[in-house]
Formats: sequence, structure tokens, C-alpha cells
Amino acid sequence: MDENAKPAYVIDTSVWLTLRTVMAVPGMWARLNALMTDGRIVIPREVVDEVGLHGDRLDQWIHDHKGSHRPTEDVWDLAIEIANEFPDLVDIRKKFDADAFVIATAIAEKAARATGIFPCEVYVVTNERRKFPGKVAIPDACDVRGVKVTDLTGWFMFEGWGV
Amino acid sequence: MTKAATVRVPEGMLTWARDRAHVDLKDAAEKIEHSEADLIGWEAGADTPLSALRTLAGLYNVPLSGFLLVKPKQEQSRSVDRRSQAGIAHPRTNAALAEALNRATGLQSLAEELHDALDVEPFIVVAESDDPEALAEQERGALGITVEQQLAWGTEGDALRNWRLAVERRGAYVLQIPLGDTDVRAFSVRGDPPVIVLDRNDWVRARIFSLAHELGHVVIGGSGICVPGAAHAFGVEKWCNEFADALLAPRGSFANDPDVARITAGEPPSDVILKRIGNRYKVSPAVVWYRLMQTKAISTAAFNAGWDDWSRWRPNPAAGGGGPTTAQAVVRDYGVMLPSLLLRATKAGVLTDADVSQYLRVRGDALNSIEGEIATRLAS
Repeated sequence: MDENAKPAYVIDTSVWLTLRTVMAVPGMWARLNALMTDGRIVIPREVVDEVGLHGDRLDQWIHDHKGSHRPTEDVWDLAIEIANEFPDLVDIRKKFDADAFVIATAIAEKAARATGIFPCEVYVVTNERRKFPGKVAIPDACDVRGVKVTDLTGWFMFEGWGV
Repeated sequence: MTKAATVRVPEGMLTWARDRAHVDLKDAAEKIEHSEADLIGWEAGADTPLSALRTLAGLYNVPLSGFLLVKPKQEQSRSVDRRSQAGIAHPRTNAALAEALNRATGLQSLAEELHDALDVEPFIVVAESDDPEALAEQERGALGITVEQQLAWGTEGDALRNWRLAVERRGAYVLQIPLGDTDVRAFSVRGDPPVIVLDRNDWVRARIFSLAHELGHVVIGGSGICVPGAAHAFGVEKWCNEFADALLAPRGSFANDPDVARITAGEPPSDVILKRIGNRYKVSPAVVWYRLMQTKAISTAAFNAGWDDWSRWRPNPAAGGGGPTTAQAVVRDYGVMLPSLLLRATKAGVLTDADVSQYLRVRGDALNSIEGEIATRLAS
């Protein structure tokens, strides 16, 4: 893998919700559009559904960039593996729950990009933290599965964005 | 033409979800516009169209991720069906009741986790007596509501809000969920924290009584799937009805009510007088009728002659007004303290905004307005 290659980001719902308020910062739309054009933003279909369409410009932007969406059926079997290795990731109290799909998508994306023309690292971007003692959250499962993980601030710092 | 995307759900999980939601095979097949044979096949692990699976997830009230597991999550049922003690010979659980029970149990387990993480004080069971009058007096003290405050509330809506907030401050969460076409009007889930669920579509004063009835279960460390105020209840259901009567209309104050005093002196208990007393205490005529008997203002024979009618009496439904805002709907459905706990958890980094929006089933940017609504309720 090319150490200098710029990473791709699989972005979780928690980050998109926070981004809604950050998008007012001048230059943010240009930065996000550039990442999207470079194919460095990846959005699992379950995240697209969880974010929903509520009249917000960012929601619409997410929905419109279908090239960045990753179909659920493509990662279903991997998501089954992840969910049963880390059952805490599945929360049936929620209406939408994309955690297992986010990690499965990152693993699949990493494998696909490793053999591509421009191999690069793949990060999961999530605002989830290690939650309750003894419970597994996205960052914990990513650690075990060798998937790199960061939060919104970390993502901005990787990209050198001074917001 | 592109082939519809299909996936395989681990065997047994679709059946588990359908049973949990109390939806029968025929209804489920109709809702997703497929044959029963298709559904049987999918439940046995055959390739399932993803679009149908999404519809089933909605119908069964589980996220799609619930179908990834090879065995169901453990969910402990903490509510005892008491309907037989309220005169229901063959209680049934339909989809609306199952959804309410699952939702309440799920939110209780979430609150339990958050209480541990945020070090919230446990709910204290105070029962030192099995006398409903004595325990109601003790509990009224714990709730901090005086009769003077109760009589000064402007509307029955104010009364429900104040009783509910007091119960929530006491440490139990109070949800309002439409219970649909079921005979259940309220239920309580045992545990720490206890959870009480009221039928959102019930008459306001009936909900006040149901809240007091379920609080009766909770303060003795119990639970119930109930028909509060049922005309011929027995056992713990009768006990909780008496507790609720005593809590809402304390014996001493009630006996000294000027209208009650006139009835005690021999004036006939007309509909007008009964409703006037009910309006003062913000209780139903049934509560007034029961208390008149208990305080010996009317004879047992007179009580029995009128009880069946009064226990079923409801006002004509009021015309609907405008719909609530998202924040108002959240506080209506989940109360003040549960959303407040979830928002506290986001500030402590235990939950994300996305988590909270999924638990409360609202869009993520509604959280600020919910916080504002909670503050308004607490301040008013």
C-alpha cells in the first residue's frame, strides 16, 4: 500500500449529524466536494437511510452522491459475521442501526482498495466512543478487526482542515 | 431488468421477530405482498428480497441489523399480565400491545445502562404497609404534591403533567404509547428504573387514574398489564385501584369537600355534583363515586347501583387541535426525565446524537428543541 496515498473514509451517521452544523463554515462544501470527486468518501446504504431526507442540504447531498453509496447486499454476509462476533453492535431498541454495516463496509472497502490501482488506507469516521464498561462500540470492533478508526476532529486533522 | 437484491437471514430470526411482534404469518405476508409460502421459506433461511426484508423490519419494529444475528438478543419480560384480575377472561396480546411492551422493556434496559454509566440514584421502594390509604398518603408525601396544589391546577391536562412529572422525579419513567385495539389501558414494568406506560389515546382523567394505579404496583415492587379502574377487579388490581383512589382524593380532604359534605348530609349525588367534585380534583366521576362509598357518604347499595355506569363513563371526545411539534411530541410520549437522561448521556460522551435520535425516533437536529421543551416543562 502506498503510504503517501490519501485515505478513504467510511462515514458513520453520528458524524453526518454533527457535520450538518459544521457545513456553515466557509470552504466546507468545497472540501467535501473535493473528497467526493476523488472517491474518498464512502457511505453505507444503511447510513444513507439512517441520515434520512429532512430538507437539509447535506442530507440531499448525501442522497444525491450515489456513487459513494455501498449496497447493503454486498456486505450482508460480512455484516452477519461482524454482528455475531460483536453482538453489542446490534441494538434492536433503535429504528435504524448501521454499526455492523459500517464496519463490514470498511473491511470490504479496504480489501477492494488494497488491490486497486491506487491502494490506500480506509478509515471509519465515527463519533461513537467506547461506551459502557464491557460493551463493544464501533471503535472497539474496528480495533479488533484491524480497521483504522477516527472521529470528526481526527478526520479534519488528517485532511489538514483548520476548522 | 436487474435482479432484485437478496440476502439470507439466519434461520429462525424472522420467526423470532414475527412472534415478538405478535404478527401472524397471514398478516405479515399480506403486508409485504408476498405469499405465506415465500415467508415460510425466508424464515427457514432461503434467499430473501432485501426490499421485503426492510418492510418486515418496519412491521416487526426491529432495525434491519436485528436480522444479522444468529440468535435473538435476551429480553427479559418484567410485566405480569393482571387482566384476569380485572375481569378479562381470556387476555390477548395484539401487535399494538406487543410493540408497546417491547418498546417499554427496551427503553427500560437502556435507562438501566445509562443509570449505571451516569451513577443515577436508584428507585426506592417505600412500602411499609399493605393498607392502600396509608401507603397512598406516604407516597403523596414522596411525590411532594399537596391537596391545595392539586385543587389549584387549572385543567386536567395540567393535572396529568404535574402528576407525571412528580412520578418521574420520584424515579419512575412514564411513557405514553397508543395501545390501539386492546383492552389494556396501562402497564408497568418492574425494575430499576421502573417504567409506567399509559394509553396515549385514553381520556386524560383516565390516564391520571392509570398513572396512580400503576404507581401502586411500582411502590410495592410489582408490575402489571392492567385495566385500571375495572368495575369488578380483585386481588392486587383491586388494591391498586384503591391506592389510586386514595392518592388522587385523600380521605380527609375529600370528606371535607363541601359537595361531599352535602351528600353525606343526605343530598342526592346528582351527575352535576359528581362531575363538579371530579373537576375540582381532576379525577373521573368513577373515582368520586368510589370515594363517596369509601367515606360512607353513600351506602354500599347506592354505590353498587351506580358503579357499572360510572366506571365506564367517558366524556365525548374533544375536537382535535393542531399537531404538536417534534419536541412537544417527544415530551408527550417519553416524559421529561427519559429524554433528559439521554441528552445527559450525550454530554457525557456515553451516547451520540445519532443514538438518541434513533432511540427517540426523531431526526438528529431535533435534540436542541427537545432540550428547550424539557427546560420549559421543568420551569413551568
